[in-house]
Amino acid sequence: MKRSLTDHGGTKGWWFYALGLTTATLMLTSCVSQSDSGGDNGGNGEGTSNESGENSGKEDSPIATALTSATIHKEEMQVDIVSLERHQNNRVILGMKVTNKGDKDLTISDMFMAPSRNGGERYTANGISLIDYQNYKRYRPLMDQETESCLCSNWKDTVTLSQDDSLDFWVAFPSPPDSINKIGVNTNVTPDFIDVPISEAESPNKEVTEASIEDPTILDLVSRQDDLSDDSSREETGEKTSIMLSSDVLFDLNESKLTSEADEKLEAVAKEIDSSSGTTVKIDGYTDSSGNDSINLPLSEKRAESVKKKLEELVSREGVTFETAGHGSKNPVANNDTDEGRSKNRRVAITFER
Amino acid sequence: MPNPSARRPISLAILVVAISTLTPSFSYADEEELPVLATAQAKEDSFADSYVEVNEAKRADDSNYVTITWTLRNRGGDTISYADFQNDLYEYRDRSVSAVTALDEKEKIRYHPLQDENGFCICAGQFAPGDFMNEIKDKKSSPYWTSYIIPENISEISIEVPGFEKTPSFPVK
Repeated sequence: MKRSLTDHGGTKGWWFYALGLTTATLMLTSCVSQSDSGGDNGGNGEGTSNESGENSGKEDSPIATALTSATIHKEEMQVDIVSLERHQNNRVILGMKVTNKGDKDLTISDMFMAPSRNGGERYTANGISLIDYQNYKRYRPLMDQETESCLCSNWKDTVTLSQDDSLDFWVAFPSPPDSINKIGVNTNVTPDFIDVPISEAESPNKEVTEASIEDPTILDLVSRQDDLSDDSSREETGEKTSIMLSSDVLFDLNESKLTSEADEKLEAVAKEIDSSSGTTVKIDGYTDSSGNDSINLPLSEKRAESVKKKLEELVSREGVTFETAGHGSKNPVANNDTDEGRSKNRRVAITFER
Repeated sequence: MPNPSARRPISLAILVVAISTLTPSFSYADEEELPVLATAQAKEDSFADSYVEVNEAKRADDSNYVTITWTLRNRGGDTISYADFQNDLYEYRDRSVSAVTALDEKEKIRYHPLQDENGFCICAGQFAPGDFMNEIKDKKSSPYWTSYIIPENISEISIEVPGFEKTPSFPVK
């Protein structure tokens, strides 16, 4: 059987909604179950993920299954997304299930936690995040104000899953904007799940919707790319684009007069500014860490000014203003210990809203 | 010649076992059955005949977001640690495989793995729990992944793992 990274269930049949309901009732706990324990789970909803049990038809239909895992278990650790539901009060709840399909014990205590220096909590999945790739945002789990823990299930002292054991757990996140109906899910050990559908919750989960929470942590995602032909780079977030042109291309050594090659590069930047939405363009000059800031600082300032003058000529959109600053060797974008890094740091960065 | 009816209970038993397990049984040896889109051989001596396989390259619908899953197979090389693949150009505040870049050879653009504003990579190794594949010994392998922002109009890409050749380009779907 080949598994797909996002093996969606297709058309939502009755089971989908039944699953939503079932999951909602199970949300309040995380639980471990064994597939060989028979159908004696009773009606308390805690013996969920039993392959031979009564619930098997619904519980075994995840909305996404990870292709593999970067663990010693590889595909033998099956990681499923069971539900992702939008609840009231701007909260979504992610339901997941992990199953040990192999005969080696699977250490579950720390599998999905964040790093300790980032608030990691054992026995929770507070290292899982949602990736909103439309808005370049990463959503970390909500934090419960009272317990100062993540608003998520805690499997307490369950350290390992033996063969055929599975664990269901949930994590609450801030809701992405209403326009987002599919999202990515990132864990420590699986390739990112993409296009996981967000459904409306069928029944409220008061434990989650009424919990007092700390301010949500929604982080910008930052993408960097290098143009190998001219040594320029680009940094993009959801809101801003920063184009970093190499000083080695724009200027001669220790000069602040633009080279002829610079014109062509700046024309391309001007076109991009014209088609962007921002009204303020920031132009920042930087040097690498070699040399002395008493020279580097004014040099980087003058270079930023030169770029500004040229861009003022080239940008045709009305109402765009330019701000310049020189920073010398401050705020390196790359590693000053290598030639390549120092070359990246000798730059003029042109930043504007997308 | 065995009696066909005598076989039936055996086949039934096999069927029951097959159904009850429901999933493929993989051995712990190096035998995953993931698809292979492209392969790149090691170029550093310490990696000997090791190679990288690209298993999957998926683009989220209507977006620039691409997740690439790849497997590193150690064949006769020194033990390989995932932490040897940290980006040494840009700062990532973790021990992730952030040095694994995607390349658009036509446009000559190199894409670095996505990171969040705190410097954590959206790739394998942002945190390594106890069962994480920290090391790949000879004859072993591990899958890892890296995620990138790659413009929607780009339908083919290759990846480069430090110490290995660039992979041939493969489709992003």
